[in-house]
Amino acid sequence: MSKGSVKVLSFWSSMFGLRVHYALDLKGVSYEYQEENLFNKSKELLEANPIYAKIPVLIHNGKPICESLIIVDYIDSVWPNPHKLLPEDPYKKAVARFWADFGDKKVYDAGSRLIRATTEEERKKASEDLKWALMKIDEALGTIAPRKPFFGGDSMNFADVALAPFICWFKGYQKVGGFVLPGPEEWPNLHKWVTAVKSVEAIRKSTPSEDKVAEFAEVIRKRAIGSA
Amino acid sequence: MAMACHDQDVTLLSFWPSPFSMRVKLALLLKGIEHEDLPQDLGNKSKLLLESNPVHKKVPVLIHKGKPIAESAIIVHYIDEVWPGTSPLLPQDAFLRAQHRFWTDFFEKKISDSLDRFIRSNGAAVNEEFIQDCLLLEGALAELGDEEEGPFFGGASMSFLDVMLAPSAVWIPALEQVMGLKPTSQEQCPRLHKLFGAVTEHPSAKVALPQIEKLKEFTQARLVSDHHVWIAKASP
Repeated sequence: MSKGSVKVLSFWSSMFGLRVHYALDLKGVSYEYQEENLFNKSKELLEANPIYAKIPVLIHNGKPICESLIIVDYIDSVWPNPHKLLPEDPYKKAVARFWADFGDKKVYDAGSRLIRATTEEERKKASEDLKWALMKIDEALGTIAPRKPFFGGDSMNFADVALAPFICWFKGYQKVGGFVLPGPEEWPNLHKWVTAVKSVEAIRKSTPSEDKVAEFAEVIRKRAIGSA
Repeated sequence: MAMACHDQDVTLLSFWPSPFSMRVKLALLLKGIEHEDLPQDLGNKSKLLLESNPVHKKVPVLIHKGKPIAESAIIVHYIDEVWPGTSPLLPQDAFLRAQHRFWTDFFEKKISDSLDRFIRSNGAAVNEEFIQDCLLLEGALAELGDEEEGPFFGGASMSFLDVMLAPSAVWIPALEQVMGLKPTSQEQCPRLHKLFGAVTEHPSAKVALPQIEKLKEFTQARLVSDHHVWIAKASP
């Protein structure tokens, strides 16, 4: 399985970082982990990602790859087995990419605005947008993989890995943004998906505690209000 | 029914000024893929568009054998995977592929975003940022493109990243001439200038990309009417 040295630069609560952990852990790839202090970024991070100076970064045999979905795609190419994340069929692959991209454009964006909202109007809009986005995911799960737990059917695929990190942030969205996730009667597919994701050992390995994330969300919010 | 009934069955829901739509058109033409081009009225979206892209309701959408694919980068990936033989776009090497995707994403996050804000602010904002970002792109070209082989990131022929960037070859001059956008000089970005020059000369690009004069008219009309059905809002 060894295909050279693998190092991950990340931050414990980062949803983008978690995608990388999930991909590597699902494939059983060994890697070195370096936790970054985002207020005192390491020289290594600044050299590995000079454009954005952001985590996560994957350094494979000394070469850096940046941007979480690009990293996951790369991981899937270099270590296709076990647990191939992108489907072989080009259409199914496009669908998986679409929902991963949706996670960035709609879920992350709304969640981020929710936590950083300084007015009630902003908070309400972000909350509605987040609700809409998660509703779309519930619908998509029902259409793409009916009666199956994951976007990938019986096992997690690229879309599942891209979206799974949001799960540990739901408590934070509730605590800080007052966002209440509709229950399984309303969103049966999403809840089934959440339960299935949480049961995967490789996912549990690096997922932080929801309470700790919620505390951290509080910190982000305080900083956002403080600077508003 | 006089339609060409290939098992290919490819339809593009397009909007001619949209840079995202242009990317897909270019990819189809580079690979010689027969397709039906259905221009869309974004002020009055068709049932077909709304059914094909219910989530974002945007163009471009590619419909292949009745199945829709949305988001230009995803569509071009799909085209490259289904029709790999002619004009391959994504590099074979995984690390190089990651670089093409990274710079596409950079273009989206930074350059496209700057141009958007420049347009919305009626030319008041972000020109300096735009220039700095183009300089970074010039750096990428120096690193990834073999100058001896050709002007493109892909050398003598266009590759994925070239296709993603190609619409700028017409949009930047249009914005320069209508709204006073200051692009980088040839001294600042010699290879980028050469790349865009080569794009405008490329036979497929000449068909896929609108003439700069048409884009200028389009931009001018939008400025005058203050009509905010803008490109950035209209397509991903």
